[in-house]
Amino acid sequence: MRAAALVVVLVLAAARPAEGYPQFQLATGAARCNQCHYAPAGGGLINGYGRDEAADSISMGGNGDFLHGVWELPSWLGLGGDLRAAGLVNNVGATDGAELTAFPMQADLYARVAVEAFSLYVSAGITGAVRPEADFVDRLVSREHYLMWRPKSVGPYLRVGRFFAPYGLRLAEHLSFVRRFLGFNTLEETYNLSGGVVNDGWELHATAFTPDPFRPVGFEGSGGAVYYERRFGETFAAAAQARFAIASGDTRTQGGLVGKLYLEPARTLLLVQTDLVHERFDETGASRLQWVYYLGASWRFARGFMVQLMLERWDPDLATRGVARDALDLEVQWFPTAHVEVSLFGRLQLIGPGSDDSTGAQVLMLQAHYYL
Amino acid sequence: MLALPAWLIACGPASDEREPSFPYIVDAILRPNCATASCHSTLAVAGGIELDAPATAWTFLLGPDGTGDYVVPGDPTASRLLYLLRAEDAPRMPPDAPLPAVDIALIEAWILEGAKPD
Repeated sequence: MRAAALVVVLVLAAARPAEGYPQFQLATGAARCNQCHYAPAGGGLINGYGRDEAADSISMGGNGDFLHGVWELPSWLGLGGDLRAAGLVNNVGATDGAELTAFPMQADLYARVAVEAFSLYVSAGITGAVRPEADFVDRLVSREHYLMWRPKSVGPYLRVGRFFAPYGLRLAEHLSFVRRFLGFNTLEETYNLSGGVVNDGWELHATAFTPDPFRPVGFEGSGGAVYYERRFGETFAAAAQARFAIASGDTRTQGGLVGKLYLEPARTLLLVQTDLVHERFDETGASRLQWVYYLGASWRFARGFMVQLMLERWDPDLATRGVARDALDLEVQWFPTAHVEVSLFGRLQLIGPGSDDSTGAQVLMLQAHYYL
Repeated sequence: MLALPAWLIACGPASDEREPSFPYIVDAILRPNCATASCHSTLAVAGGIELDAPATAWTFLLGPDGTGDYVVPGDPTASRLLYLLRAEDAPRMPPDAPLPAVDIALIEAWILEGAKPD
C-alpha cells in the first residue's frame, strides 16, 4: 500500500533529466562513470556499487540499497526512481517584480532487466515545469529506453534507443550552458545507435543520432558524436569530443575539450568543458561561430556536504557584440543520508556583457531530492 | 569575475551586422531560448505559442489570419512580443533567461521591415 502510494506521488510530480554527478568521478575513487551507473557513460539508474558509495562515502550514512534494503532485488533486475521538488526565486528585472514559486521538478521511475550480456532499460515519468500548462497525458514521457549489449562492465558495448549521446561533462543541472545550448537540455534526448569501449584508463563512445520523430524538442538535427576520455593516474582525466548534425535548414559542426582534476589535499574537483560550434543557416546563407565554456570547482569539505562554484559563458555569435551571456553559480549540497539530497543553488547572470544595454538576472533555488 | 572574457568581446564588431530575416531569428534566437521542453516547443506549446520552426512560429506570432497582436507588421509599438521581451508592463519572456538587447533589437528591425516570413 505504501509502495502504491509512493508510485502515485511520483507519477503526480514532474520530471527532469536525471544525469549523473561528474563531481563524484575521481573524487570518490571511481575512475569511470559506469562504476556507479548501469549506463556506459553514466546517468540514470545507479548500480550496487553506486548505491554503496552513496551510503558509505558521499552521504552521512544509511542504507543506499533500493527501498533502503527492505526488498533485495535479484541481480538481473534493477529498479529505482528520482523525485525532486523545488522552490524558486527568479528575478529577471520584470516590472511586476521577482517570481516566487514552488514546483515538482522530477518524478522518474527506472527499470532494468538483464539477461546475460543483454539488458533492457526503461524510464517513465512526467515532464517537470515551473509553469506547467500542458495536459497531463502530454506530460507523460520516457526520457530513456534502450537495449544494450555489454558482456562486462569494462570492455566493448553497443546500445540502441533513446538517451543523450555521450558528450561533454553530462552534468545533472540542465541550466548549465554546456547542456542547455549544446543540444542536451531537458527532453532533448535523441534516438541513437551507440557503441564504444570503457576501460579504467580510457573510454571511447561513438554515436549516430536522430531526433525524436514524434515529440522533438530543441535542435532537430541528425548526425554523429564522438567522445574520447583518457585518465592519467587516479586524479586527472582529459577528453576530446566532436559532434556533427544536419537539420532542415541548419547544420552544426562542433568540437571541444573536457578536463577533470582532483586536488586531493584540498578535497576539490575541478571540471572544465569548452566547445566551439559552427552553425550554418541554409535559407539565409548566414553562419555563426558559437563558444561555450564551463569552469567548475566542487569542494567536499566534510562527508555529506559539497560546495560548488561555477563560471559559465555562452556566446552564440563571436562576431556580434552584446549577444553573449555569463553566469556565476554557487551551489551548496547536503546529503544527510543515502537517498536524500538538499541543495541551495544561486545564479547571477549577466546578459550582453560588453554592450551598453547589458542586463542581469538572478535565481535562487532550494531543491529536495529523494531517490528510491 | 563575470567580465573576465571581456577582451574577447572587444574583438567583435561594434555593430550588429546580422540580417533581420525571420528564419534566422527563429533558428538562432527563438528556438534555443524559447522553444524549450516546458515552454514554446511542440511538446508544451505554452500559451498556445509554438516557436520551434519558422513556418509555425510566424503563424503563431502574427495570427492565422494576420490579426494577432504579438507581432504587428511595421509597427513595433503595437507588437506585444517586444513588451514581453523587454518586460515593459508585462512579464519577462523568456522568464528564466532574458534575451540580450541586441537580439531584441534585431526582432524589432524585422517587425519594422514588415515582419515577412522569409
